[in-house]
Amino acid sequence: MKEPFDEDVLQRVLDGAATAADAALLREAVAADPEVRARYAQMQHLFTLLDGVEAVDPPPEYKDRLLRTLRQTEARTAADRGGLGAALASIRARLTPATAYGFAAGAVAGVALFVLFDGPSPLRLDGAAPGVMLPHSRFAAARIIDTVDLAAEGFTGKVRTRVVDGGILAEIDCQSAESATLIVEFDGNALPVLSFEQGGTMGAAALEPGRIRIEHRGSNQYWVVFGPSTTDVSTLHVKVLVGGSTLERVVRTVPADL
Amino acid sequence: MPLPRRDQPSGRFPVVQSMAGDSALVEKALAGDRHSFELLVEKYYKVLFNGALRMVNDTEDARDIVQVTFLKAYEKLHTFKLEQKFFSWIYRIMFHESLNLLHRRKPRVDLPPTLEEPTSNPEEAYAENELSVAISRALQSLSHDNRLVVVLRHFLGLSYDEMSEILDIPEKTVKSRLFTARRQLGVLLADRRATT
Repeated sequence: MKEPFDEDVLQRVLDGAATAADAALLREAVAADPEVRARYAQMQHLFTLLDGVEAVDPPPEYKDRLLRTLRQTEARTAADRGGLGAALASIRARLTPATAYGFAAGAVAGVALFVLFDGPSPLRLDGAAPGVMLPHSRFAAARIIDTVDLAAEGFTGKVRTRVVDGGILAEIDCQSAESATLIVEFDGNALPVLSFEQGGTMGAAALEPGRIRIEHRGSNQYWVVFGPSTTDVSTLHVKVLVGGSTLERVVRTVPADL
Repeated sequence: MPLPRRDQPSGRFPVVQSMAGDSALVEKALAGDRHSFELLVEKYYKVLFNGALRMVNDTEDARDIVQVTFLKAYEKLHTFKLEQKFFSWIYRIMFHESLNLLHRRKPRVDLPPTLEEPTSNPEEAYAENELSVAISRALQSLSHDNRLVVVLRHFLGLSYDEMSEILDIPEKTVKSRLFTARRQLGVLLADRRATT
């Protein structure tokens, strides 16, 4: 009975890991044995198919986002290393007089807090304690609750909610040719805001009880971390005001299977 | 009959294996030079994205995986041994993240990646897309372990010993998984014709 040809030799040859003896062995087998010839042809065909698969380029802005996220993490790590004092100093350094006034007013009145900022700063709002801010590395691994696309003329975006440790994350990703206003409304009693971040270098955001208003333009990402919902049913109402029209969408903040 | 020598896959994946300078960049990054780490990101993000994409077959998930990979690499950079190969180290992080996601993912119908640029010839574009879909589906039908070796070998161009190092399994096991995976793919893609 004929000995089957050693497949390992065939693979080594195709993988470029063969010795001269391997190659000679296969060459002889291919010439003499139709089964080996067919198998070799099949494997060559498979290699041709796989090697013909084109690489996919990530979107052009993806690298910038990656680098931005890394810089935010780095800044946060540095702030954490420096303790609360350093973190607050870092936030203070980014505040304009107007935003400082907003912080002061918010602290005194405890009603509304306006924040206007001009950099990719990891701001903690609403008196969130150090450590409440969740690292982005946890976000992507977190379970998705809902994903809703936002599409209007001259505006595209996406809102995705995820379960993260100790709460719910809303990731908002927007691209627009002209300036747009993004309003996220929610039950402020059921969904306390723990933190708010934006990825870009421009923009203004105002946080009020039960509402976040973002003046958006270009391409940017926003991250809102809410504390755990205190109700079984909770949603975000997202409105986009762009070019005289209003787009409204509802995004779940409670997993559908709960 | 002359046998072709195949040191690297001939595909157009951004195979990155040049270690030159990686360790130096890591050293600088550890010393506080942020730009050095960013250079590593620039060097590896495309290949990591493509590896993750072939593993999970979803562009958004692949992007998330790459982001988490770099964040973890940044956080754990002090554990990297300079005598190691940086690409082995970071590929390993990426594949762990990919496998974690696949294990968490509920069963679903996977769609082919849709980021490829359309070809100018519609018939060619259709054939290419159909082939790409068929290959994606065939890959997704493999077990995670078997898919991993195919991605490492065919799309990232790694050798047996590099795969063995990344996966922390003997070379013999690498070959055995490749053999099984290729046999399955061979059957699934037997009727497909290459478009180029």
